[in-house]
Amino acid sequence: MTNLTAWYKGAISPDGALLEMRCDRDAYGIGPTNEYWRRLKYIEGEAAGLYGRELTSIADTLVETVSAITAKGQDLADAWGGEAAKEAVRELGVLRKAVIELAAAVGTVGEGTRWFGEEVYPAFADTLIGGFEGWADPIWDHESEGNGCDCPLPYANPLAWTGVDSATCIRQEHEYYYEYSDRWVTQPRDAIAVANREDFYAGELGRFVNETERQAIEDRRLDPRTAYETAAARQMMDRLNGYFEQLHAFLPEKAVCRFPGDT
Amino acid sequence: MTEPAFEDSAPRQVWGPGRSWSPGYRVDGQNLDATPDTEMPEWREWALDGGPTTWPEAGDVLEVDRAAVRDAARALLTDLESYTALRVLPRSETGAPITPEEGPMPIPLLRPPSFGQFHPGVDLAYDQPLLIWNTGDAGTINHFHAFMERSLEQFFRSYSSCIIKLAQSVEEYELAEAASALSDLEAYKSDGE
Repeated sequence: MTNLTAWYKGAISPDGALLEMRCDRDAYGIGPTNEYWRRLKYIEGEAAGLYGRELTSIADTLVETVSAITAKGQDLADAWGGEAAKEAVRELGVLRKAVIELAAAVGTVGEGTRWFGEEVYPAFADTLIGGFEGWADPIWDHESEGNGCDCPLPYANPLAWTGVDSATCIRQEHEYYYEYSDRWVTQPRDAIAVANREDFYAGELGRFVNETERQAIEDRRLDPRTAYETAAARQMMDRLNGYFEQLHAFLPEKAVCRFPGDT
Repeated sequence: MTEPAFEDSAPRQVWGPGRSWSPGYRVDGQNLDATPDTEMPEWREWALDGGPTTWPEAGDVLEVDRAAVRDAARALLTDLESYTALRVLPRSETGAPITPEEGPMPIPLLRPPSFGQFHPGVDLAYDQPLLIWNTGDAGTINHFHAFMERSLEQFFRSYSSCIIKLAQSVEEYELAEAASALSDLEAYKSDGE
């Protein structure tokens, strides 16, 4: 009779793959502008590195046990004969097989986790895109009494008395459209000029901007800076998910240990 | 126009796991020869090829070299003792861990890191790592951790049982008792039991 322990590698959940990037602010209108920041916050990179090292050290100890069992199994087979001896040696062989399986799985998972924690995670840890930029309230140009443009002439909203927002600076360069936007908008000077939007769509980030967002930019409901940040965050998340896929591929398909029955 | 600050912040390329022992990889970036920096650990070789399969069989002749069997059992017991650090403290009825009065304290296994649902899943509704409570599904690594703990527990039990049988067959009862004390995941037997 054997005692069986088993683990099977699950498939990568489609829900866990690419992110839904959405502006998710709390009741006070404060929060990160996309999910990337949050997802990254919940990866314990340093802990993963330590955990992986612990697992590989357990695997090394199990390897020593296999060496010990192999050597002593041979000694026993040489020194002892008969049915009882056959049974004892066979049982030790079953145990060795289970330990080999366990060491292979523990070591492999350990190396994968260590690799992720020590090599992959640090490459991403400092690249928070669109995360908290302090706990300041979002700045709307009509609130800051200016559009943040660096024009030498002072800006005044000529329509202020009507209550209508205008974000047009004196040079007419920064026409931004966030009076209907539900996005957190940083200083307009950080935004991407509308003239560049074709470059934005055609470039590497283009595939991370969907049609709805493109239309929103065209309709001047979404400021390009936010769209750009969101696309860049999606790109980073896409890269990170690529590493998760590598880790998943590296893990063993399954680990099944059949230990000999105990007394 | 101010360019966004993150434009040139693309993360550096990272080699895949296990590269340090892969042929053609060197830490210094040179690829002048195919010699890896480190040797592939045995556990990884076993993961790839299934590990050694040859195993001796005892003979038919009824004979026993008691000293040799005793030495083998003792050597295996010494090996089993090397796992003391991985064991856990016994718990009292209230669930509180009971610390040993003497001897080394076991170092508990680290808990697995949070990857959310393997992928860094976050339940946005609750701002928590994604857990599927009804299935207990907390991610690939967490599942593996539970499997490893169960396996280590069973390993201690089976290993100790093998040693006990060997020791009893040559009437080394003290040795059998010592092995029996190591059959549990717990680091030692508390007085209350």
